[in-house]
Amino acid sequence: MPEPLPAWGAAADLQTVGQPVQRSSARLKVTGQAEFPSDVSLPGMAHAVLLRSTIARGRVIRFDPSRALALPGVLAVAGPLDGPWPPYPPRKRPSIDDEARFVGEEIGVVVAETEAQAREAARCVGIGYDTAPACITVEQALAPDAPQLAEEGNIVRGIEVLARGDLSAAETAAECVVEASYSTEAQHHNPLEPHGCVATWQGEQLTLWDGNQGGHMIREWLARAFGLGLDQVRVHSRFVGGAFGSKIILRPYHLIAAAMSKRLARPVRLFMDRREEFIASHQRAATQRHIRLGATRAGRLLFIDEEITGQAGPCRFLAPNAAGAANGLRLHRCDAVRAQIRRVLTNTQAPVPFRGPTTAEDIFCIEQAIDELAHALAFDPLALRMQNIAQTDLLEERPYAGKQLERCYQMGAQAFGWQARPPGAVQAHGKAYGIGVGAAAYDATLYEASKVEIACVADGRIQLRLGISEIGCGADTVFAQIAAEALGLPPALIDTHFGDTASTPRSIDATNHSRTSAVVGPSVRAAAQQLKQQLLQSAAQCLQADAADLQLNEQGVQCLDGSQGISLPELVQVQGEMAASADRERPPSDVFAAMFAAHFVEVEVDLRSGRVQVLRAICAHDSGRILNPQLARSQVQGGFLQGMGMALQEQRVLDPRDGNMLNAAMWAYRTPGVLDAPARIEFIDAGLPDGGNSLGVKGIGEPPLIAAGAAIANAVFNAIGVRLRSYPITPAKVLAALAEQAA
Amino acid sequence: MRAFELIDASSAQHAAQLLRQHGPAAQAIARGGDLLGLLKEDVFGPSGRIPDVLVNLAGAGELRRITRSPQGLQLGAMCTLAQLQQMPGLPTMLHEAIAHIASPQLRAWTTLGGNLLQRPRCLYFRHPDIACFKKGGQGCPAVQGPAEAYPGSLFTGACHAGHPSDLAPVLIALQARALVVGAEGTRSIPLDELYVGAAANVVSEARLAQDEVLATLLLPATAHLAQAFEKVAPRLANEFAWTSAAVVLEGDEKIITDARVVLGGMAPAPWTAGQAATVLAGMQPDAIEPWSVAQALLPSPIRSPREARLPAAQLALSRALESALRRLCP
Repeated sequence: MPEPLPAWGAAADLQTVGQPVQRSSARLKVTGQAEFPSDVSLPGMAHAVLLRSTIARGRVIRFDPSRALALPGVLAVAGPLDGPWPPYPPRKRPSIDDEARFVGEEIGVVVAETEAQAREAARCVGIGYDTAPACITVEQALAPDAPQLAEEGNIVRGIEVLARGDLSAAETAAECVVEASYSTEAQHHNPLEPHGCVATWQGEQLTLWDGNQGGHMIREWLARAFGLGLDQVRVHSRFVGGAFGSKIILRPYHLIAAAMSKRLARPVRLFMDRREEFIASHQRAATQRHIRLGATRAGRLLFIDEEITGQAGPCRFLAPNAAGAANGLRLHRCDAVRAQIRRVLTNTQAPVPFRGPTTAEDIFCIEQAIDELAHALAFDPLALRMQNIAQTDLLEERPYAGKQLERCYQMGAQAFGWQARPPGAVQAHGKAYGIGVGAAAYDATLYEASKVEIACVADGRIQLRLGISEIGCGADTVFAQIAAEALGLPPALIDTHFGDTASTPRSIDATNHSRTSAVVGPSVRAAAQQLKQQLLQSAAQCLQADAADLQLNEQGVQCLDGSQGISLPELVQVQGEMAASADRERPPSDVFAAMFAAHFVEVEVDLRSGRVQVLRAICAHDSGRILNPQLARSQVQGGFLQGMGMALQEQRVLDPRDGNMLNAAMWAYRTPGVLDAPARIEFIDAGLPDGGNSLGVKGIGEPPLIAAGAAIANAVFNAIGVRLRSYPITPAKVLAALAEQAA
Repeated sequence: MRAFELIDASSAQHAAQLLRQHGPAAQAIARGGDLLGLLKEDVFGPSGRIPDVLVNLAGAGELRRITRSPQGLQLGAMCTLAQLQQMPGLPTMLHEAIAHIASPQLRAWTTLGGNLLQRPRCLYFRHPDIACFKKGGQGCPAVQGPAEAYPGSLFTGACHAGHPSDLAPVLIALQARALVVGAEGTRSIPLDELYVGAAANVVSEARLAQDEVLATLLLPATAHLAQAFEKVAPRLANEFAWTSAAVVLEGDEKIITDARVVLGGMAPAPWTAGQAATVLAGMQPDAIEPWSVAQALLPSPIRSPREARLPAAQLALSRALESALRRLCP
């Protein structure tokens, strides 16, 4: 692991980094030329549709394909006993199993000449079950007579406790204690492009076109599952139609598509439909929390004590995604913290990461509790937060690599006009208006090996090769900016190549955890810097000059005195292609890197319909150096809207009797529409170059979602004077709360 | 989706003949805004017949006609919602209601007749693996289901779905008649009679024979009516009503002489407030307090209302009443 290059500090004179460079794939995408995995069509391609359990728990005891096989175009129908079905690493469970653990789990597959034929045939497969009693809700799973879903019981992996400081001393010192229970609802990712892939074999060579967040890791898992060498598997994921955390891990469909392709010796396409996206592509967990906060009368936060329960689904491996508490505990300065986390097995889809996984659920609630504390202390909610800013990370016991939360508060409040509004509710014409603030913290951890390559190729252009997938965050653009900056060339000369395991080095596992720029970025800079030296030195040879007297620019390599020069195509013609590579830099060990944000929101509550409309949002973020303000703004707007959906509208409706998801359709699962969006979502860059890496960057993918929820909920409280502690804050809940208040 | 044969009908009469000729396996299709969704999602239970033949009404030009006469308006059932919205001189609340339906894209494609004959949006009815009463199953699974999935009806019965159409309450309040063309002739009935028995009907919400086509809506002249429509829904667009309310008032600024109030989303058929005329006729417009009148007009729920259905109904109705009163006494 190389030492970091000298940091690009606040005073660094940067030409390309920090500029609103247009997204390099923008034209391809809006003209429909960008090829997404679901666009791929191969000669002789067959279409697969998965058979899914219609019961929540039990076993398949009858699998009759005869009617389906008789239908036109049907090529194969296979069930649990038609294996062996490769297990999906790192788990051992076969990708198709006779045991059903939730409604929607994979129990078979149909392959036909067309997708329509496969879907029709899937309806004609005779399936019989031996049904076992199931736990659909956490309450059912924790009932004394509940069926036990694992040998260790329904609380999986034990009770995790995060604790620091002397809680009982803090409790004794507390002059004001607030406590309440909160809950968040399961949230579905709903990427525009559903989950799926196209698989094909040439001999023992497997190729997949797949929408994922990291093709190299998918390749490694596929190789393990099929007992192949890494060089026998190639994964293409050039463009990905949205992921939000749901396309990180290998799924049964990858293996089933590949297995059926091998059996039939034809390319096989397998993509979920929208209903399957809801019932089988997994989601954010539903959580419950009981939070107790203590403070002095003067507003010093003394302790946070919370009990958390997350709905873990049926699977131990994915259970950690059900709940967490770390980022909520590190958000404010505090003497003592304790979080007890229970992850409860249920016969529902297991949770997978979703933009700010476990943290959004956590901070949506903890930041409401902080607001309740401010109210109890008769403090301005912003003033209470300003008074409790931590300089050292309580959990990691290290100072922050950079923390501009105070600037987020100040700049956000200024832009919002926080001080200009009266503290109480404003009502007019049956509507109430309120303002709210909510903060967020998110750890900038997750570092693994991350190689990149950069080359000057025959036409004199610079090719940057990254082993990542571009899921829409702008990785196609910002790395070219970083390379351009290090080379001193315009970004238009640089082609970023990614999304193909055969022609890229292995970078990070996946584009996730808001860290792609912070981990891969320094590798790009280091590689580009090396390439620049190579170009200068080989030009020095050609020109018989001293490399120190040369400079690299758009024209090629020139003598500083302008006497002579050589263009890059000429240089490559003479010296051959030049390439350099670099790995990620060593992260600093004495500081802890984290992202911060503060959102300020104004809402209008219709007192008769109960509907909450967000009128405007000011989103101040400390994400270190912003590489591209245009892309950052898009991230913030999208993240805020997704958080707003989780806070106000999005709700999975499961029938607790049988585990059927009842609103598995876009019209019935309410994501925000254009008319629900606030008139203005403004991004404020409150960050400064961070000490966590030599670029000074942190992430901005997840914090905008995390900070949105509590800011909205706190504004609703400000408007109507009633706390809504159960997300989403639907009109029905608002009306019920208003009725209770009136009674 | 199961394969089907699509046969173009050239007129309503032709469509009725084709439906008779192909028998129970055939069904009429307007623009498919609802029907194609049902087919794709496989929303057919034991009593649902997946059609092998779809008789396409889109080519029948006569069904897209709008005609005016001193007696009133004739609206072809295949007029698109966008076409109606752009047509000047239609009753105010028809415009208001269309503006609240779905999205501009869907309004450009879907039709008046399709809107009136769309199937319930109850989450149980729409679930492909659940056989509810409306699909030939046993009883209504929604009654004991989670509150968020409660489909809305405030009445007891075999089905608890709310009627999804925003235009049905409007046209019923305007005393529209439906012209139904069958293989053996044409009949005209008050539109509200089309929906009689909707709760107990396991194949449809409308009383149309298998070989009948809803061809035209006849609207009496409405020159002096004050009217208004309101819809309460969880989202502002692409959303079905929790409750919609259509209000028609007759009279002047001194006295109301007659009133009609019809609500959508409340029961398996559009629900007409029976006491509207009794309560409102004879009242002075400026003496009316919409919120309390709305409460008086609403039914007492048989079952405890969930998911804010009753407050939503009161809200929709009081807002519509308020707007209609404003139009009565400008």
